[in-house]
Amino acid sequence: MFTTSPANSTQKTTSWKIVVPFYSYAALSFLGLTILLLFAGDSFSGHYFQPRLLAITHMATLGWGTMIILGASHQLLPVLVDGKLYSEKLAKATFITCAIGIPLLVYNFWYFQTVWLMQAGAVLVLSGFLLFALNVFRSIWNSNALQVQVYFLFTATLWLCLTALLGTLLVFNFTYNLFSVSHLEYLRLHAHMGLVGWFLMLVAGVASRLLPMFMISKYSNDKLLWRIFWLINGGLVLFLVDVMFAGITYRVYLYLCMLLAGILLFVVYCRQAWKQRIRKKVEAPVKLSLAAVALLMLPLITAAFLIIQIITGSHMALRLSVVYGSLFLLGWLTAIILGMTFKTLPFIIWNKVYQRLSGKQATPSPKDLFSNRLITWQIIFYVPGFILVEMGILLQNSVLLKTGSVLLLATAIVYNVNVGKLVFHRLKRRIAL
Amino acid sequence: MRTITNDIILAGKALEQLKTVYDPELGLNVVDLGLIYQLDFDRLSRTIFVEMTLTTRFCPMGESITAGVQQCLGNVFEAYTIDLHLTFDPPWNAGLISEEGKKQLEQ
Repeated sequence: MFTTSPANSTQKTTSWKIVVPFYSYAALSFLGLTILLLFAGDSFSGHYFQPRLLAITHMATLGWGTMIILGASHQLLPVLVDGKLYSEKLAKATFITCAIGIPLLVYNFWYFQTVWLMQAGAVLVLSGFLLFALNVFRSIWNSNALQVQVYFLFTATLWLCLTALLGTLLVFNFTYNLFSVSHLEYLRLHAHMGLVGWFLMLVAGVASRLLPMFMISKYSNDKLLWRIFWLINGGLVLFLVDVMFAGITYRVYLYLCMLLAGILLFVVYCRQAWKQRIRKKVEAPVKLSLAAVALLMLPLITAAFLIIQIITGSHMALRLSVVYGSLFLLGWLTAIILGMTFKTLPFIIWNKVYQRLSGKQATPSPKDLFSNRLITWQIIFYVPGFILVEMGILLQNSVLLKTGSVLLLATAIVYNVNVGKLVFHRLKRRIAL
Repeated sequence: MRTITNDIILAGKALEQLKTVYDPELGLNVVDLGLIYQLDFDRLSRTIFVEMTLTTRFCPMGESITAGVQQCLGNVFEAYTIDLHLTFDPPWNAGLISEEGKKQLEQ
C-alpha cells in the first residue's frame, strides 16, 4: 500500500497530450518547408519580398520553429518557473488557433492572395500567441522562484507577441494601407523581433538551464546570464528604434557588436558548463545543439557584410539578405531543433508509455525509443544539404539550390520517420503486465 | 550523501533494491544519484517512511521516479505501507551523487 504526503506530493508535469501535437505538427511543417523549398524555383534569385519566399519563411518560422518551441515550452515551463503550467486548456487553444492560422497564412502568401483568408490566418496566429503569453505570464505569476531564465522566457514571449502584432498589421496593410512608410521598412523590424527577440532569447534562456542539467554540470553564473540578457535585448531595442527612424546606418554595427558580445558570452557560459560537467559521455543530440551555437556566428558574419552593402546601395544587398535569413532559419534554428527534439520528445513518450512500469520491471531507456542510425543519416543529409542551399542562394546557382533542397527533403523525411517512431511507440506485448 | 535510517539491516535491503530504480534521463539509479534522504522503518505499524528529493522540483520524470520507488519497496516489503514524502530542503545538487555514481557518469 502506498501513501504520498499531500503537501509534498510529486509535482505534476504538463501532459503529453498537450506537448506531442506541437512536435508532430512541427515535424510535418519541416517536411512541408523542404517541399516548398524544392518548388520555390527562381524565387531565390530576386528580391526577398516576394510571395514564395514569404510563404517559405513563415513555414520555417511559424510551422517549424515556433510550433516545436511552443511544445517544448509547455513541457519545460514548470522546470523553468518552478511551478505548474497555469492552464492546459489555454495550451490546447494555442495549438488549435496556430494550427489553423499557419497554413492559411502560408497558402495565401504562396499564391499572394491578400484576401480575408490571409488576414484570418494572421489574426488566428496572433491570438494563439496571446493565449500562450497569458499562460506563460500566469504561470510565472504563480511561481515560487524567479530565476534569471524566467526573465528570458518572459521577454521572449513579449517579443513573440510584438512580432505577431506587427506581422498582422503588415498583412492588413496589403489591403488598407495602414502605414505611411514602405512595407519593407517594417518588415526588417518584424523579422528581427522574431529572430532575435523570440528565437534567440528563448533558446538562450532555456538552453542555459537545460544544458547544465543534461550534462550534470555544477556550473552556474547568473551574473553572466544577466549580461547576456541585457546585451541581446539592448542591442535589439536600439536597432529597432534607430532603424525605424533613421534606416540602416553605420550605427547598426554597434548593435551587431552588442548582439555578438551577448552570443560570445553565451558560448563562454556553455563552455564553462561543459568543462565542469560530471557526465562525461554526452549524447549526439546535445552535441548537435552545442554545435548549433557555433552556427549562429554565420548569420552574424553575413550581417556584417550586409550592412555595408545596404548602406552603399550595392546590388549584392538583396542576395545577402536572403542568405542572412536562411542562415538563421535553415542553419542555427534547424540544427538546434534537429538536436533537441531527440533530447526532449523521447522523455515525454517514455513517461506516457512506461511510467506505470517504473520500479516493477526493466524498461527501455528513453534513448532506446528512437533510432540513432536515423539520427546519423539525418546529419549526413542535413550538413551538405544546408551548405548547398546556402551556396545556391549566394551564387544564384539553381543546380546547387535544387540538390541542396533534395538533401534537406531527405533530412525532413528521416526526421519525420524518427519522430513517428517515437510518437507511435507502444508498449510491447512481451513486457506488458 | 548517505541515506539516514533507523534500521540499518532493513534499509540496506531496501537500498539494494532501490538501485534498480533509475532516473531515465540521467541513466543513474536513485540511490547513487543521492535522491533518497531518509528511510525509516516502523516494524510495529509496518510502515516505511521515505523522504526523498528530485533533481529539480518540477522534474518531468518526477512522477515515474517516485512511482518507481514506491513500487520497488512495495515489491520487497509486501506487508508494509510506503509513506513517501518529497522534500526540496535541501535541494538536490551534483555533490549528492555517490562516488560510485560519479564513476558511472564519467564512463
